[in-house]
Amino acid sequence: MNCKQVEQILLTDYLDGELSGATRADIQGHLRACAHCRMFEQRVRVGAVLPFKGLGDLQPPEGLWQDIAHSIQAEPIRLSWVEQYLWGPLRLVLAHPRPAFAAVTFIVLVSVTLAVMRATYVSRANMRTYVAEQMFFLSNLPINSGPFEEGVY
Amino acid sequence: MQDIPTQIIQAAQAGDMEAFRDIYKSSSGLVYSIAYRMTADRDLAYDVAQEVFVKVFRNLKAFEFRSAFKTWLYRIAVNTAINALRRKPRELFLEEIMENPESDPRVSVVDNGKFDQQDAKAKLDILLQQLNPDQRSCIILREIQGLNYKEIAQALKININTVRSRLARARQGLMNAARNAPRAGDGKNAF
Repeated sequence: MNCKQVEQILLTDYLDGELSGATRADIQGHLRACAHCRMFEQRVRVGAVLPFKGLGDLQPPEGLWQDIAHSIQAEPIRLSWVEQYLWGPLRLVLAHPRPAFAAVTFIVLVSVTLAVMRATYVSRANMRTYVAEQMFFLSNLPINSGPFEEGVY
Repeated sequence: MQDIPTQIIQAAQAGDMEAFRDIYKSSSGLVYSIAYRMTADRDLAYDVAQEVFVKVFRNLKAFEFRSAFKTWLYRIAVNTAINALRRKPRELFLEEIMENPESDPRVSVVDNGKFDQQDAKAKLDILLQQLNPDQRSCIILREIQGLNYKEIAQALKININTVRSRLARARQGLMNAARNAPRAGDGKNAF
């Protein structure tokens, strides 16, 4: 490890205690042997780490809570499209699972019944048309005619 | 910041203002500190802190306990502060103070316009303003809030190596600022 690589590690992981034991030992070995890197480490500590020691959280100014509470109460709750049209009904369903299940089952049964009835009606109508055509054909056959002549019908 | 019990957060999620006030009491110091260290402006920090808590209240229902509440709060606080800084650019902030120290209430001044040596915290705030907001947020979370790299990465939603590089650049910047800062006694100012 050269000095440039050591400096990068000193700036971050070494001072922040993020190094594994082996790498930390390597760096410490390098520091014992290299006056330049020892000086660099001191400069980082003094210039960029120690000034922050002992800094705690600041006390928020008086009146902040009142302003927050006022803002919250003054502004109406804006629901997104999903919340308004999807999540609301879905939450209602989830809150009452049995009635919701019964309602869904009813809707499915009615839909299937209507679909079957419609399909039956359509096939009956086709049958009626077919029978009517056949009746028309038979009624137009010549009476007492001989065997079918090729190409006539 | 003390850990906030899950029941308090759940009560606030259901719209209980008293529970939300408990959250405020536990975390207002943290939020205001981040806002102030990021902006170095009391009025702006006040506005940022207010905006943070309104956002927290509005989005509390979406919080699903997948991350720590504190991590979520750090993210909102830092992002809100960065957005506030973008709305109100303050690149000239440091130069303004250097040129006219009396104009800033945080900087106590002794004769010859030198900064008071005892006002180290105010000087630190000025030093922090030398960093860009991304570097500043990493330094604040690491040095003042005491987060490790993984926690910073989670709070800022960035890669852990990005945390490293921002911290390295921030510390280089702070070292350079401290070295270049004028010293007391030689007609210049010392940090």
